[in-house]
Amino acid sequence: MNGYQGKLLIADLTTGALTDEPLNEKYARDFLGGTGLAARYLFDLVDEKTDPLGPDNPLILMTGLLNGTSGPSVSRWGGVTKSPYTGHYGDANAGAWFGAELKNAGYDGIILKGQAAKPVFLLIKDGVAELRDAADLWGKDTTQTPEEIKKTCGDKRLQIACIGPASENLVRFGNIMSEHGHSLGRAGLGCVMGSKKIKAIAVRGKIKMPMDDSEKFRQAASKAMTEVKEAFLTQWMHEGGTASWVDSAIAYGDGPTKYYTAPTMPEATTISGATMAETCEIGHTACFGCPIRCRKVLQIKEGKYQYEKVEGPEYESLIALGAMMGLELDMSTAVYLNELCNQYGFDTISSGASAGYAFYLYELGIISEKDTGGLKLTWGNTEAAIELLHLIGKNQGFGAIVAGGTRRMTQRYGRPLGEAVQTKGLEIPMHDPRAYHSMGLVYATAPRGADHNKSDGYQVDGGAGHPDLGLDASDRWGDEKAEMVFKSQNFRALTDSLGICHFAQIPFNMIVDMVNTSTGLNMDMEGLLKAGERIFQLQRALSCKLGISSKDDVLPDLILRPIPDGGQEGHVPDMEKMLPEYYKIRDWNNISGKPSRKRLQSLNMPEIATSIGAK
Amino acid sequence: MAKVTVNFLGPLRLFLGAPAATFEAGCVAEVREVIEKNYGPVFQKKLRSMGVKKSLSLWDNSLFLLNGRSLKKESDAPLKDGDKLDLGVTVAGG
Repeated sequence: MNGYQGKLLIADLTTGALTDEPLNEKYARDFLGGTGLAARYLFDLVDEKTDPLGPDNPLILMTGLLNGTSGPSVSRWGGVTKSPYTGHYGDANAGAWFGAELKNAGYDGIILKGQAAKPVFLLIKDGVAELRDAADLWGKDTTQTPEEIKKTCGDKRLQIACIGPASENLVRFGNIMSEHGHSLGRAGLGCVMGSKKIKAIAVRGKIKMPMDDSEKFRQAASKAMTEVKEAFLTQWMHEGGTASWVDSAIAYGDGPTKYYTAPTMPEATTISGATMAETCEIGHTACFGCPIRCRKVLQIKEGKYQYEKVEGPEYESLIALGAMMGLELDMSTAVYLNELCNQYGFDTISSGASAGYAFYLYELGIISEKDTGGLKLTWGNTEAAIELLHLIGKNQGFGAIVAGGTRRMTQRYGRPLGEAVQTKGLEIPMHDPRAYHSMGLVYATAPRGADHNKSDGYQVDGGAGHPDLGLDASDRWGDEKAEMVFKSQNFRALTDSLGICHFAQIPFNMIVDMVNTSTGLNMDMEGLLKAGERIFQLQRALSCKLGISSKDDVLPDLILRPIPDGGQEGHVPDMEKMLPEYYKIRDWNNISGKPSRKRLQSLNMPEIATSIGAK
Repeated sequence: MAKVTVNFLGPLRLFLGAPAATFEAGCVAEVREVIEKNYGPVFQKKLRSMGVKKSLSLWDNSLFLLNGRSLKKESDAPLKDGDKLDLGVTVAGG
């Protein structure tokens, strides 16, 4: 099948058997690639009884359809598993170079099964895979690990995805880290790698991928590249990076502060992307084939923690590891906190939010130093925050409790579930739904739990609109959001599966051209959007198969409390209005939350309807 | 006429070369005119320096917030002393 390498690697870590499996062409046609295609495979392999940390839970890594091609900003690859953090469907995707190199190494994806008896790493070069001993790598951080593997293998150009000590220690929100701080960073995919004792996957190759019409693809990709290079979003992402959203987040009340209870703290501007550009930026890094080059490289010469050359933190991490705990950070400390999480290899969003909840409980007097092992978790106590993050990475003491996340913490301390600012067990990212009402609906309905990247909600609410989807810019506090969220969720399910970055503004007709000239599928915009909906509904059906129902599509009480001061001006999303409208558009059952049989059949998924007992 | 300070948020601070500017104006539309006159060339020069050939308008990619509330670009909303005016990009990210 053109546009694919046509095979997956099945790695049975229990037996050590490595086998090639032909790509299921029907799955590929219907779900394209990335997390969509991976979720379709996962659907067949897990159920409610699957232990997320047991040998029967697969971890599936899948390239985006366009990975490795000359398309612009098409580097994103994905992973899915039954999440050890949330207990149901988990997915994540990342950029960098791993996806492109995996394709070049001859595979569309990898399914990891079983559990190794001792640490191993997987090496794939030009279609040949082998498992190697990783005893010497166990315990090493996410910078040391790829360096050691490159040295051992004598190949500096290997692309490596690995886990750090946190996932070895089975921190449930452990990440899979690829180079330069890029991570499959939510839902605990790294923890599953840790449970399987696979430390890393290293890939490299030069195997050419068959294309339906290489010359026409080259032309389509070239046009798309020009569009991306000239887009304003490209310029601002390059200059400011995601971190430059910090200043806007302060104005809009978008950045959760003191565990979602206070206006976004203006002090955060000292660590914004604009401040980085003005004071300490020395360069940028780029993902494969990306003209945006949004990642910042910093040199920190002032402050307690100094670096000659270090990756700049992204917006989510800056707020989660700062304002969330009421920390007034300087750049040096902000970079250090981000590095600390990346080197241990755990999710900055869930760790920052869970630590923020610990601070909140401490301030309320619910927990004390007796519970925290002596940590004084008063708002703004940076040293306590640093110590807590270390304990999380080690999964020790009070850190082990916080590493369980906010939902488990409410149970432990007898607190109402509505204090845990998460949906379906996954903490809400750093775009507050009281600043953008659509995000309330996005978080409540995302298949894996709260996920800010599964729509264009804040883009449309923020005044940009989405012409290709027929969406005009709207007000951030209105509650007429169901149709917009539906359409943009489908669109993002599509682009995630194609491997396209959110920051690449590629006109839809050019996306169609790239898909068709690479695969020969002869799709149109309508067909691709239908594929997007199919992917989203499949992921929803999988969540339902693993125990999710309509009762889980709720925002926690705490985030529905108005904050009158600051950029939110006391607004809260009207979930009672939005959610029923959304359910109707999605055709989900009001009680089971399952997509209807009719809808799943119309999306060419009758077998999924039967499997989940859809009506 | 009111004296208002406009904060250029996030990346706009980098594209307009200043974190904020103070103007006397009667409404937001007047502020826009002054910004276009004083900072439009700075914006265009910055884009040229980044290799952008296409003509991009500051106003297609930004919006005002008056006291935190998003305004339509052509707003004739009157201003009074002490109003908080921000100019931000229209796309959130991160």
